[in-house]
Amino acid sequence: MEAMLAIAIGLLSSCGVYLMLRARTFPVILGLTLLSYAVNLFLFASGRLVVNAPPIISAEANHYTDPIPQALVLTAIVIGFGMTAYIVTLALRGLSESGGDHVDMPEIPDDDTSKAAIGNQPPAARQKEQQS
Amino acid sequence: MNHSIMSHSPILPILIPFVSSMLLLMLGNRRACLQRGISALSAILLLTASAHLLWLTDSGSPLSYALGDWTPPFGITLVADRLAALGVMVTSILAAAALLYASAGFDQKGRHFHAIFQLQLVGINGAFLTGDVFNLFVFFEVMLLASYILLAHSGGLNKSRAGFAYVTLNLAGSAVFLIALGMIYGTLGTLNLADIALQLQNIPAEKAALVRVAGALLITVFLLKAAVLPLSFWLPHAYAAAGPAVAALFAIMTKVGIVAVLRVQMIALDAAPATTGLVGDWLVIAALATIVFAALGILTAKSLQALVAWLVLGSAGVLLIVPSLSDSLATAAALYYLVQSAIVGAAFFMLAGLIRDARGPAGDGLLRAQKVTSISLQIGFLLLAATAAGLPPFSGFVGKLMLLSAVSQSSMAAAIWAVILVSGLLTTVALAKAGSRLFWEAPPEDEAHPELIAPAEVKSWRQYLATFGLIAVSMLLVILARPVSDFTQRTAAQLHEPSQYIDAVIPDPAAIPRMTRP
Repeated sequence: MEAMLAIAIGLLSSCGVYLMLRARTFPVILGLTLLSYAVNLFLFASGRLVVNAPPIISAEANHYTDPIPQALVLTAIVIGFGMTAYIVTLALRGLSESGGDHVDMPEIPDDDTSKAAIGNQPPAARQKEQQS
Repeated sequence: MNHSIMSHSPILPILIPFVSSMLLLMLGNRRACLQRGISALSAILLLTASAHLLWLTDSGSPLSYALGDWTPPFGITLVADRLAALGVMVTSILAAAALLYASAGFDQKGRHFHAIFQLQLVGINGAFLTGDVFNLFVFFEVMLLASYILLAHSGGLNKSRAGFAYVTLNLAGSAVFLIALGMIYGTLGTLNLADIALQLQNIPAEKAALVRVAGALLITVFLLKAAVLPLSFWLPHAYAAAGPAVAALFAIMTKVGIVAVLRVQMIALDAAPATTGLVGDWLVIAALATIVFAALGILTAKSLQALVAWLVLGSAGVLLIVPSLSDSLATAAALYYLVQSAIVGAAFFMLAGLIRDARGPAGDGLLRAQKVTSISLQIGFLLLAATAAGLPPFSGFVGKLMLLSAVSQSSMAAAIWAVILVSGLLTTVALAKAGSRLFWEAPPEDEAHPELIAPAEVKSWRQYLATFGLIAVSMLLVILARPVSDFTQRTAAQLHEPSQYIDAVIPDPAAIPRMTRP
């Protein structure tokens, strides 16, 4: 189980870091999300992996799992959720203001007729367009 | 009755802005006067509470406050030592000035300015006062989330662009922070700072490497907040894009990172054999590189606000020389420098805002356009520029002098002296150039930009009062240099004696029940 968890954390964080280094806002946000999943799993594992044990005192249980990492993960999830919601809003605002979804948000002049076209296309279509 | 209120004083700097922020959220965007009234009341109460806390901590040992009376290391602990009280005091002064400045109209250019501003104060004060590293994370996040929103306040592409990079970088930093916390909890079984210090003393050899990595990650995250090179590229853009009142409050945020480095290093890391020397000479080198980087940035800045952002970065570099020296006198000098640089940085951001309003369309850009003829702005610029460049007799000079004389015994004294003095010279040159551009140089006839000449915006007395109030505080720091530096020396002495902090939180370590884990 430890090996599986370690591999999952490693995979999630490497994908997260890769996506974070992309130049478009949407992959960057996905990357941040994956990274926060990896971190939450890691934090959860810091209380050691115990199967079938309750975190709070109960009459039947003879061993327990550490409740603190669970509380920490819960806090981290809530904070991560709020942050992700905010950065999505910020990215959308950047999209509407600059007309593109590049992370540097270069200014596209108003008279550029392509602005409306770029703004309305989904990012995937635009990337294809640039590759071709 | 009096006694019971006194015993709650460590939590007041968090509670006052929190309650007013909730009130302001309920009020929504109606009634600008009432919003400003609640904000002003909160700022005054906060000033009173922090002054009281400063007085309490100065006359005694650190105050430990257990929320819900859960005995530390269980539950949430706040610790008010002199360092925390000093940080809270500076924050409340900046907050009062920034709120006054914003009340001239900036606060109504978007939604929920006052509520978010108070939440930002909750985060900053909490980060100074918290006694455990997980709540340090939580308060950091509260501070950052509020700062993201304040940064984007009143909109514009420039703000969205700076904001996106700033948020992404800080989210990545938060991930590293959590990894460090997970490693600390996994190896030491505690997140309370005083308890971490105790547990570090008898860490088994096979866990020492993991603890060192955790400590290094933690320090790295704090250095990201403090903007040390190579983690400092976000600062100039973000601080240059924020509104003046917001940037003024941001001047304290890099200081939060520096205080966190000092606190964790002095209380926990340095005293333990496994992690001693973790913050070593490399930090001095990185800090000196930051100063050089900032000095070059100051020379290239295209607007006054960008220039001030680089100045803030430079002052962060000066402060980061100190942690690895582990010298009480140097820490005391750095704390004096911290106070004065935060106040001067904030005042300078506000002055840049006033100059921008006075120049019309050219804004605070350092190009030949309309001259600023206002005598008060000229005097304000002269005072702040001389202070920021470290010219005598202003507080920047006093701070640098104390720091330079305190580090003279260190092995890296020559490098530190050279970098600080040369960067001071470069700063002086850049500020002189900026000043002559803004106040003296009229555009030549052939390249005049008629579109850049326009009647100035009407300014409010509130903006002037806030800016010149902060300038007056920085002048007071010169007049009261002796008592203030005496206080920072007592603060540094307390910080360099971690047993005081640990005893205040955990008087009887043997009585704590410990869980044995695989």
